[in-house]
Amino acid sequence: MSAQLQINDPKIKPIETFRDDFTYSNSPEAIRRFPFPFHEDKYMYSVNIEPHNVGPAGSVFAPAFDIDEHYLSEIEERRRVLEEDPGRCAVLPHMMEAQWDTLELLMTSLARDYPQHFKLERNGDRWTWENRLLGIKDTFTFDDASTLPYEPFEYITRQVQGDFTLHGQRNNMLYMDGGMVTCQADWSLQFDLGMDFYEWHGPVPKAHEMGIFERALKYLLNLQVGQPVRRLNWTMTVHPRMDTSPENYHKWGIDRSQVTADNVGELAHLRVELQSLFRLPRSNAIIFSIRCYLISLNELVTVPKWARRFHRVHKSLPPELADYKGFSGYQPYVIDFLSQYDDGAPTSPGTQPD
Amino acid sequence: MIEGIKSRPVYSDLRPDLDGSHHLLVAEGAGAEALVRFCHAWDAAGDPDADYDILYHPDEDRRWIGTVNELAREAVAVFVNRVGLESVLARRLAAARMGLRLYVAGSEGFIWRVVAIAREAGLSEDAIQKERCGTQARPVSCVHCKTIADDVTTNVYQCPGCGLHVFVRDHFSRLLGAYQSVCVDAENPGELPEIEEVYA
Repeated sequence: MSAQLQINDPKIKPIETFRDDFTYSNSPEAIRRFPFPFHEDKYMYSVNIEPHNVGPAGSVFAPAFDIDEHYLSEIEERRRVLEEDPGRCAVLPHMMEAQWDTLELLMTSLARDYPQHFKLERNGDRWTWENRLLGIKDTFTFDDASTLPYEPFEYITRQVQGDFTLHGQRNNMLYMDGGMVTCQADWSLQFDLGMDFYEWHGPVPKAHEMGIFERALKYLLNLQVGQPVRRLNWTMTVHPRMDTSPENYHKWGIDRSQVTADNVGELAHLRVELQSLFRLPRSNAIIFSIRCYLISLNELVTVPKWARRFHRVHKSLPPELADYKGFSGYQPYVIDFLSQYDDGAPTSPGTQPD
Repeated sequence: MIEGIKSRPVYSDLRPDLDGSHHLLVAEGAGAEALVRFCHAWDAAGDPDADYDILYHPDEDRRWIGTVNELAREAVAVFVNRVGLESVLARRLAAARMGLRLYVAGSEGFIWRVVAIAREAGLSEDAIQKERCGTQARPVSCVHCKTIADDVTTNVYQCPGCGLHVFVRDHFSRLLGAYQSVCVDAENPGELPEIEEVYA
């Protein structure tokens, strides 16, 4: 089977919203391929890193960077966030080579995985990039930022779903040297810029004591070009709100107190980040892709196995994790809601729907 | 057992690093205490090949001026305001040669202003000795409007930039030289916790 046959052909929806009237929803196909993160009926921190670029046909794990039905909506949301707060994209000056590395990786990956939507022509250092979904066709000179409307990192990450951070590697340490961060789960790029690996993970409870970050850092320092890795992370978000940034917490924090027994199925969303890491060839930096997927509880319980398992995960979750992830206030409603769908039957191994 | 947030900076007592060929000490207010200890250690070590200079701003705490003047022979410069000290520091660092050692003592806000000036001059932060003296007040950056409040002594304060009541976290940015503060009543507007002097 060729690589292209294994990759989902996304039926891109017209623009939906992640704020105000929240028109975002998942089609039945999008629900089936949602990256449900729990492979057993409980959850605890783990490094859980595995090779990326191998995954079931059509799944979010098959392409290097998943493009799905929400493409236009997420690109528009990013544009709106940047319009209000341009500081959500920032790269330190010494990372220009890594910016070009990022542009090359994203353009070549998208053109390979989705040739119906993206096309890259390279004629020496004269490159032509075509993004048919956004109606973009630009010719530019590789390594000459003046030939693009934005710096190369911002130019390409404005056209790809998910957040991205750029990490320089020096003295056996990774640094937060840049990023495009508009759909984050409550961390601030502007504040964390320049931090080392331990510093930017500072606020995460428990994991430091467990030695998780030491192991993860050691692993990532040895990441090889062409051998990307991935892991899943998760939290809960009220409304399908992409921009749960600390910058705007004073605007969205109130949502958490508005969840009730009646509206929890509609309002509470499982938020999953598909995090993948790629070594960049020239700069030796690492690009970290944080691709966010949102699914309402109403949508999630259409898969009986997930409803049972998610109920058990919530019931057995350590309270300090619910606090850190910010949903302890409305978690009782979540558990009550999910309990209706848990008949106590065993769940099958793996994360796939039955 | 590791406790607390990992980005929180660690300070330690200033000690003469005798591998240096020139030593620049910068202090404010109660940072004079660190100068006294440094100079005693210097005299005890005795290093005729090197020399040190002191830049000192007394701030509101003027009781240390006499002590500092006595300490440092002709090597001390006392400034009436911080801006004057900062501009002289920037000039000294721009003209500095290899072998310079930089030491800073004072409040956290002062320490990280000096680190920022040194970074501009090409010095890396880990080459600077830092000792916190006197107040535990924190420089804090509001995550909502980015305004930095210089000497925050309470767990919650009203941001002078955006007016929100914000809570001071332990999370610290070396690049900004500030802790982070986040809206404290976003989920329950108007419900403020008891405001306490925790960084006096």
